[in-house]
Amino acid sequence: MKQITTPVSGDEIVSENPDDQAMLSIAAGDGGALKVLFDRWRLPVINFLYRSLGSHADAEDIALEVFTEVWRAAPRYRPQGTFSAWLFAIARGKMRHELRRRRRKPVVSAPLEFLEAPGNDVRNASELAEREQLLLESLAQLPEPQRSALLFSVQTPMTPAEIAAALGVKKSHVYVLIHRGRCQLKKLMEKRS
Amino acid sequence: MNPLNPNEGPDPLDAELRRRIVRVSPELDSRFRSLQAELQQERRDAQARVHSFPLWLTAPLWAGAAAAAVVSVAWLWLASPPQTTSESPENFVQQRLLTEDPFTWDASLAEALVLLDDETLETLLNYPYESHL
Repeated sequence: MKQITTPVSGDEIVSENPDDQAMLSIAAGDGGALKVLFDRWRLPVINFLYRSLGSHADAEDIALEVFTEVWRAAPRYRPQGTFSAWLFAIARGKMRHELRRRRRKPVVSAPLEFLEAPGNDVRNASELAEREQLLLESLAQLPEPQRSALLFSVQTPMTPAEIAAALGVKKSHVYVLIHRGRCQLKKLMEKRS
Repeated sequence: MNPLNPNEGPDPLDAELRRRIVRVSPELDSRFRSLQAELQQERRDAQARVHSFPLWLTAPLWAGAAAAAVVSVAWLWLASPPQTTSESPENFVQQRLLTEDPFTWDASLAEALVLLDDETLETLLNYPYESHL
């Protein structure tokens, strides 16, 4: 694959990662590269925001804010870590800001036509909607770091090291957050159902 | 698979968590295109502002900085005037070379060395000062 280099403080940074290459193109003013990243990452970002905020509409709004930030921060972006960790750190920051801004807001599951049931899920629509609502309400009860760590681990292709970078914690702490989040979520779902 | 305990097998909770959004609202793409155009325009405007900024507006800042630098240098010079020697350069250099380690030479010694003619300088520098230290 073609390598792109960029001079940074006298050093040459070489990246073969397509996301890094897109970021370097964005930094040079290429709007098409932003579209490439948007098409590649919008669903993972929207999924994370939807499950964190409990609102499909808000998730799409905040996702646009995330990609706005990606564009504006591109000149400062250095392809030293992984792009996904950087991207989800932005998404998490926007999500937390939104949660602080709006205080308490009831969670509402997305319309079922937007959702995919994995595997051989043959449950009927009303049961699926009920499970989705239960999941959202239970996730909303989790402490934010546990919820984010759990969602990152299950819904994104990020490695534990990348999740740690996105959350700003040590890798060992990520395992603890995921474990605690999972146990707590099970209890909450059992209690509510 | 449960990442914390691979022997446990799949966790039913994962199926719930993996149920994901696979479609976006029809209007999201058009909103993104508007945003994209807006952001590109914003950057073009920012670049245009940088290129059209009248640099002469910064002249008072540069003049102020230059004046401050002159005042600082003058103050430092007045506060610590250069050392002068009442004796001849030869005596001064010889005295310093006899009594001090060459690594402690300072500006006044360097100035004195410049005043010497080549022959005197060579004589002084070839003198066996180590025996006096």
